[in-house]
Parts: sequence; C-alpha cells; structure tokens
Amino acid sequence: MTDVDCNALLDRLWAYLDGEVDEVEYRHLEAHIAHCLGCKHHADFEVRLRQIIQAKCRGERAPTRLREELRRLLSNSL
Amino acid sequence: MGAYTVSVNHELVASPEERDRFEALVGEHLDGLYGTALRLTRNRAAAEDLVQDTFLKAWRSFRTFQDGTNARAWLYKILMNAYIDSYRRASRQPETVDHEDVGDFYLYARAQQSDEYRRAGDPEEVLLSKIMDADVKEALEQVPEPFRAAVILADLQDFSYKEIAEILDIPIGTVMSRLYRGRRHLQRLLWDYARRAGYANGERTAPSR
Repeated sequence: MTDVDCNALLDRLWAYLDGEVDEVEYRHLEAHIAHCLGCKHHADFEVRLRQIIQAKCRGERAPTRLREELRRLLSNSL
Repeated sequence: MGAYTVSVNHELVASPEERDRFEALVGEHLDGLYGTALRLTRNRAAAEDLVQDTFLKAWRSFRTFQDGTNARAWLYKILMNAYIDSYRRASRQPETVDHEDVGDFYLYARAQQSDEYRRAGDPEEVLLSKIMDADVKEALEQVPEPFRAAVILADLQDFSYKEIAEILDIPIGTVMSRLYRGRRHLQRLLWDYARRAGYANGERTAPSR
C-alpha cells in the first residue's frame, strides 16, 4: 500500500474509525488525515456523530423488577 | 415469564463456586443486555422477557462454557439467538433493498450540500446540533433488521467485527455490509429528523434534491 488518496480513505473510513485496520494501513490512513483538511473534517464529523448516537442510545438500566425476578429464578434453579 | 419452566437438568448439582461465577456474570452484563434487548425489541416488557430467557439459557449451558473464553460475547450470542428465534421469525420481513444509492456518508454529504446550513455558519455543526435534539433512539429503532442488530452490537456495545461475526454466526464480510448499511439507514433517518426540526423552527429548508 502506498499513498492514500481521499477516495481510498473514504472507502476505509468506517473500518479505520472502528479500529478494524491493521497497523500498516492504520498509519497510512492516519497520515492522510493528518495532511488533508477535508478528510480530517469529515472524520471528526463521523466521530462526533457516533458520540451523539452513543450518548443518546446507551445507558439503559435494567429495571429492579427484572433484577429481582432473575435472582429469584436463578436461586430456585441453582 | 410465559411458558418457561426452569429445571435443573444438570447431572450434577451446581457448586457454590459456579453459582457465584454465574451471578457475577448476571450482575456485570445485565444492564448491557437489557439495553440491547430494548433497542432490538423496542418494547420494555419484551426486552425483560428476552433477557430472562437469555440468562436461563446461559445458565443451562454454563457447564459447557469454558472459563477464559469471551463471556460477554457468549452471552450476547445467546441473546441474539433467542431474539432471532422468538421475534425476528414472528415478523419476518423481506430484506429491504436500498434503491437509492446514497453512499456511506449521507449526513456529511447532506450538510455540505445544504445552503441553509451553510448560511447558518458551519454546516456540520448546525446539523450535529439538530441531531443532538433529535430522538436518536427512535431513529435507531426504525433501522430495519438485520442491519439494526449490527449497529447496536458495533456502535453501542463496542464489539469488534470478529466478535459480531461469532455472535451472529455470519462471515466478517457480512458483518461489514450489514453494519455499513445499518449506519447509512440511520443517517438517512437522522437527516429526516433534522429537516423536520428545521420546519418546526420555522426555518426555510431547501429541497433535499
């Protein structure tokens, strides 16, 4: 793999942000982003979007009722 | 609890150590499994049933579970199988096809194309602030299966592609295509929310095409 252009970066941007590229490719993609303002801007956008999705969709707590029901069922069956 | 009957079908009675280890697993993963079940089933009662079902099945096969293997992925695999058995089968829909070729990064492209957002300053910032106010949970829950499951496992539960492949019992290439399609779909839904928010605030919204 040699120099990465913007299209090649876009092809791999999700895998890159997901931490799913090997070290060599990671360094190439990282170097491109460090030098390409447009791609950096775009990558930052996707990261912030994911953070918003996580902040809004995570953090559910199991209801106490479920917790107690499980404890009861398991202590009966254990 | 429905028709579930709990029976000890182990040949041996569980040891106190096993019981403790299992209870620790329940404590550690209950909230995450419940959150996942809720995003999958879109219904609190169904999510509770699914999580109960998951832990009972997990307990039954706990004997075969090897210590040191990935307990979290193992539990999510049981959850996903139980979900697919009882819910996805019940509402089997034909796989939706993306007729519109939107590219992977729909929202970013939309923000850049929007004259309205450009006028407001930094178009990506304007869009993100609208999404901050959107009902992102509802949007995620509208992403069709099987794409939603991939997005939940990757983006909310931080599983790797390889772990998701094991949990869903599909090849890694299929994980990637489901995940990326799910994300595209979610981005499209979020764009709709952002546009509606624009109308609600009395802003003039340029036609999307």
